[in-house]
Amino acid sequence: MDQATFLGHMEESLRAKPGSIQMAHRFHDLDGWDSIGALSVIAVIDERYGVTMDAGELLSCRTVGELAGLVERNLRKAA
Amino acid sequence: MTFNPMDMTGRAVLVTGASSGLGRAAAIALSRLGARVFLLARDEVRLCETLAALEGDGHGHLSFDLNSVDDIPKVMADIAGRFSPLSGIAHFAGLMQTKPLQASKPADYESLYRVNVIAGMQLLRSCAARGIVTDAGAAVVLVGSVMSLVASPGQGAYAASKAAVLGLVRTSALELARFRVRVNAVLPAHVSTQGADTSNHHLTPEQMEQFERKHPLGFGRPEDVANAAAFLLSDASRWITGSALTVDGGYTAQ
Repeated sequence: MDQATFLGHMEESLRAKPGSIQMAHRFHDLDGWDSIGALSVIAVIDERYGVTMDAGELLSCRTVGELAGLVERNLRKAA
Repeated sequence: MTFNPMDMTGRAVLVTGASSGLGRAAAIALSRLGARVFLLARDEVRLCETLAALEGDGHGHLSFDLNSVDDIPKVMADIAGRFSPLSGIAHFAGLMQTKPLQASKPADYESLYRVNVIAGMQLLRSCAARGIVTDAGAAVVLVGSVMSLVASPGQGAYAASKAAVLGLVRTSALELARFRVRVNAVLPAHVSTQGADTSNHHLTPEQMEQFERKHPLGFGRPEDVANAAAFLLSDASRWITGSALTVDGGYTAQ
């Protein structure tokens, strides 16, 4: 999974400036992070990576990097 | 200088269905309020007629079929990039149909739903993407109908699609408030336009008279709906979102 592409998907789903979201960022500190933002992230991960996750799994990730790791583990499991 | 709470000077507004009827009237009204209007519709020739009727400069247009709903995000990005990020979107493109239930086919419902609802959804989705609307926010007007609220025989596909518009307006008003995007609907009753007249060609003159009597103020004019839409696109309505404004000459008051 390409990290820059993953961050681009996060920025797209939260309408953030390109290049503004980093792996180390905490979701709670991101602009636009709320229940709709979380649903947008779940939808974009499903659409782009074919990984279905529920809100609990997403909310267990504190940082963007933790979510990327979770998506990667799911992709490896599926492979 | 006269105080005008509906002043739209310097605002860029997209109007779909701008080649005729209510869409054309809305585009003209917005230009008279000072907006730069971007016209979208299928028919290039009639689009240019609307363009020629606009006041002021700096308007734009594109011939595009909103049935191609998958292409709408790209078109919106192009308009925002080449014309301007938008302060307003008015979705006047739509289909009408009168057909009793027993003659209706799934395809009738699908074709009305596609333009009346899904195209509107795609326009609204673009407001959640970066750079399509201004950072200061925007206002979106979808066009419902009195058939969003009440019924009339033969209006199944039309009424169902226009009722769906209200659900879409309310939901997206909640989701887009975070981007300072307001979303409202106008709900017109019968306005004499070429489109509406074609859709009522099955009525006899007596039936048309009867139909007009259901409107306490008589049939409307395109400007009546255009002005209501302009109000909802302007800062005069800055605290209004998720609402539906009936513009119906009293049709639904009875």
